[in-house]
Amino acid sequence: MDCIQAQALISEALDHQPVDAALLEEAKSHCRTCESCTLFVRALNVIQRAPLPAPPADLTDRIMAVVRAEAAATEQAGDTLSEEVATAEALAGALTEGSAAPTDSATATIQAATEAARNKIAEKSAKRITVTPAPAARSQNWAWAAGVAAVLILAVVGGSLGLLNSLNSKTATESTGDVVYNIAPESVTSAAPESALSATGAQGGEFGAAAKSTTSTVLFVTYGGAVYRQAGGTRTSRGDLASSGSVSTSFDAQTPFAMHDVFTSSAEPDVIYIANGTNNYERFELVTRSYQGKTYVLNSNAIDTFGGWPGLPSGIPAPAAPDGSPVFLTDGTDATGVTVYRRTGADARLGIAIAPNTATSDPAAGNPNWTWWVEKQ
Amino acid sequence: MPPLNTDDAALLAAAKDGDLDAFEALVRAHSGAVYAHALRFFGDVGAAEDVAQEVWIKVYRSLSTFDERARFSTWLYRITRNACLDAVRAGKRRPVPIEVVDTIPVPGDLADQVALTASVEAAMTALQPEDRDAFSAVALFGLTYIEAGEQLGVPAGTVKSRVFRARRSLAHVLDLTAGGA
Repeated sequence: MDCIQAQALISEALDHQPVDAALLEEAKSHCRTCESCTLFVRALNVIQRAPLPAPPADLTDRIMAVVRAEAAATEQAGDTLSEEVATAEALAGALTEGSAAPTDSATATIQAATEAARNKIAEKSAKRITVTPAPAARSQNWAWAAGVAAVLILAVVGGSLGLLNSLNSKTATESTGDVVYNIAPESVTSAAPESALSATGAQGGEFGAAAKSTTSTVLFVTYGGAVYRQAGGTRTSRGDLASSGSVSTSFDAQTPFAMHDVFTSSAEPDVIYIANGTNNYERFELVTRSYQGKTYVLNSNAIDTFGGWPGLPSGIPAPAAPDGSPVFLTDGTDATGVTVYRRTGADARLGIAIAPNTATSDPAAGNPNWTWWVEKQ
Repeated sequence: MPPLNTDDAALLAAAKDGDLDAFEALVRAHSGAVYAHALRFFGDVGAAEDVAQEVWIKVYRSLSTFDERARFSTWLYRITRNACLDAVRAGKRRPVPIEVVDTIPVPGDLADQVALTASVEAAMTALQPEDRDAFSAVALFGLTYIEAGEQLGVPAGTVKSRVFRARRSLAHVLDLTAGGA
């Protein structure tokens, strides 16, 4: 056994890899009698004994302060929505009482729907007190609650316009049926795979059936949380490209997603090249937008279906309403007139959101999902 | 750093249920590896702190998507590595340049842990980035060669070679003649 073999075996054993016991013993024996291997083993001993560089004592506290603030903001957003539903309930009650001649059945139906909503809210609130749901579950809860609120508000508006009087018992019951349908347990708790959500665009909280069937004609990938889009300019040789990591994607609808090597070029800081498996390197550009003189980078969860659109990162709940509430508030408009949103309770420095279905000239380019953009430093 | 143990699994499950104390325990248990990886990547304390903070916020935001069949350490390594690369791509930070290092003296007194750490960390700057990356995955985060290979997009044998090359480089740079070791 030579020095390299002996040292390699010892290195493997240090990493808890399975090595042949007899060979390892031979390697140790070699190292005891070989000066350079003795030095190697002593160096490994030094490396093993050296403590890791210690992070600042308050780093964990700072991290937890941010995490706790985010958790509180998310919780507060959920509570705000509950209050809105309660308001809708109160309005429904007040308006039906004040309407000229509501039918008994319509009133009873709305009251039943209100009671059902109240019970469901109470049930959800109780759960939230004992076990804080994961962010994705919360967003589903909010979507459900918003659905209830929307139906109640529609009923209220309908009543105030005198339409309520024209509802016969059957129609009112169908409205109630809609509520029940929206809050069916399976719709609240169903754990659709994220891939399916991405494919349908449901993750971003889009509104309208057309958006749900849309797939992107541009290939997007998420790399390090940032979104890149295929931009043409395939390289046929690696040249000066430097290996940077890997990304899961597919270059056509028929090929399953697989890991592909990612490369970067110092000449193109906002570009990555992805090896496409045929010795070519596909060029992808970082997706950015400008707002108030700053550049923002599109962030997204992993895009794991061919033709999938970028969606909101997992920590950002989907809004329950087209105006972005309760997750987002309007922050302003950009130079092209697109409305820009920020997180409720935060400012745009932490990121901005764009509503679904922007014009094709926009960097969000017709995306049926809400999108989230983080300031580029 | 030890790989995921049953404590990690329990803490993860509790954190996914919204228990922030459990999440904090996870942060305290693993922040050393995250910080060390970032510090070796950037060679800058401020950058390492920023990235470490960003990593843990990403972990928190992504808890619901974590597949518990995977190991937490593998997931954490991926997020940490991506956060470092992302910071460079976004133009926020620059990776530490590779230093041409002749030798780094090792303190005679190995009990002087501050000096020992300083020597080893100085030696780390001599490593090629891909060797340091593989060494970090295996030695800091406790990944197997196969797991590290999956994360780095290279075969397990390549990881083994890179880790070994990193150790030989470190052994070559560390000057043990001052005694102690």
